[in-house]
Amino acid sequence: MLKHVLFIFCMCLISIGANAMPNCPTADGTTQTDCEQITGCVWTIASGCAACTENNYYDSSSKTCKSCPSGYPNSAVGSVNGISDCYKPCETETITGGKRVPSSDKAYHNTQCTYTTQCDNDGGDCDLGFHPNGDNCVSNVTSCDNNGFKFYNGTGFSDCFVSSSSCGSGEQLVGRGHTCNNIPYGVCKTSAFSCSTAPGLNTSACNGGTISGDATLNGETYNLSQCTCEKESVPVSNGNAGEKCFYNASSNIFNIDCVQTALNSCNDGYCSTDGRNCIPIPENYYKNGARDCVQCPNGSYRSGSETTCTWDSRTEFSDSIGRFTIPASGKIIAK
Amino acid sequence: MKFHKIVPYKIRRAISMAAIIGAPILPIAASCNEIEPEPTPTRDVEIKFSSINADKVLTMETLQSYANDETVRTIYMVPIEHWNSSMAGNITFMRKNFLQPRLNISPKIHGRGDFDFVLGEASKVPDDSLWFVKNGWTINKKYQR
Repeated sequence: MLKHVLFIFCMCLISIGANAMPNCPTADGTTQTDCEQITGCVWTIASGCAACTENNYYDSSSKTCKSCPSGYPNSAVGSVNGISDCYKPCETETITGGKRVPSSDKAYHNTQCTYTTQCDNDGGDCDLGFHPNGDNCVSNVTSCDNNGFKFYNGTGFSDCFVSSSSCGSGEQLVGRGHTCNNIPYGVCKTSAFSCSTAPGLNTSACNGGTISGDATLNGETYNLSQCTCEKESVPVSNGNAGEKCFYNASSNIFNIDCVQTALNSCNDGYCSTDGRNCIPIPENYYKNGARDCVQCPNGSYRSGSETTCTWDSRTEFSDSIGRFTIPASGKIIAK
Repeated sequence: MKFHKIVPYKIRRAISMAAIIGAPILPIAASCNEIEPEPTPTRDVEIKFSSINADKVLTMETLQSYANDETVRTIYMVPIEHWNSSMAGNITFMRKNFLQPRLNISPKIHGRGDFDFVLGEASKVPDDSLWFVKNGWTINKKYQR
C-alpha cells in the first residue's frame, strides 16, 4: 500500500515537473539519441544534453533550441512547447494623467499586451483629476466658449459652469463645489419662477386647474412648496365646489393643505345656507339656483319632499253685492 | 651540355673589380635583413559564444587561425546570453569535450566572462568549477558578493 502511495506521489512530482525544465540526461555515456528522445532536450557539442536556456524555444522538428523572435524575445528556461513559449513583457506605461496597467505581465507569441487605463485624481487648480477615455486619460475639466468650464460627472461632461460674473439679472450662481483659480464656478439659475413654469414641477398633476404661486431657488433646486393648484369643480359632500391644494414635491402631486374655495352647487335635495356646506333643504326653505337655501316667502311653506314653497290664502272682500271670500293657493317654483 | 659564355676582357675585368669592391658590402647588406623587427602582437580577440552557437563560433579552425596570427596577443572565449539550463553533468561535459580541447590549441587562448549555470549545480562538480575559474571564467558572478 505504501509503495503505491509513494509511486503516485512520485508520478505527481514528475507531472508537475513536466511544466518546468525537462529532465535531460547528463550522465557520462549519454548519447545524442538518448538526449533527443526527451521533449525539450537538445544535444549540443558545447554542453551535451541540455534544455533550452532562457530566451530560446525548443524546435521539435530540428531538435534544437532557437532564439525567440525579436518581437517576442523572452522565454523561460526549459521551453518545450515551441515558439509559443516566447513572449514579450508587458509593462506599466506612464501616460498623461495616469498609467496603463497591463492585464498580464507578458504577452505570448502573436498576442498583444492588454491594458487597463488608470487615471490620476490629482489634477491642477480645477482639482478634478482625469478620467479614462479609451487608452488615454483626459482631464475632468474642459473649457466652454463662454469663459466657463464643463466638469466630468462620472458619465459625461456637465453643461457649462460659469463664474458669478456671468450670471444675468434675476439669476444667481448655483455652485457644485467646483473651483478654478480660487474662483467658484457653477450654473446660473433664475432666482424665482412662476410655479406654472418652474423646473421640476409636474404641471400635469393640476389637470384642469390653475397653477399659481412662485417657486424660489433653494440651493440648486427650486422650492415648490408654495405652488398651488386651484380647480373649479371637485366633488364635495352633497355638492360640488372649488379646491386649492399645495404641491407635494416628494410625490409630485397637489395634495397638501387642500382647502375648499367656493361651493358651486349642491345636489338635488340639498342647499347651502352658509355658502360652504350642502345640507338637506330645511322646512320652509327652498333651493334658489344651484346651491342656496332661501326661506319661503311670507305666507308660504314647504315641507317633505316638496321642492317648492306653497302659499295658501283667502281674500275676503265686500262689494255692493255682499261679502265674498276668494280662496287662493299656488306654488313658488324653485329656480 | 656545358654552356660557355664569352665575355669580352674589359668587361670581365670590370666585373672582377666590382666583385673586389663589393665584397665587403655584402655582409653588411645581409646583416641589415636579419635585424628587421618581428611583428609585435598588438591586439586581443574576444570570441563570444552562446549555448546555441558555440560550436559554430568556436571552431577549432577559427581558434587555430587566430592563434597563428602573429598580431594577436590573446584570444578570449567569452560566453554570452544564458547558460541557465546547464546542470552539473553539462558543466563537466563542456569542460572535457568542448573548452579544454580548445584551450589546448594555443597558450594564447583563455577564458573570460561569466557562466550563469543553474544555481547549485557548479558546486556539485567542484573540480570542474575550479577549472573554469582557473582559466579565466566566473560562475554565477551576480550572486557573489
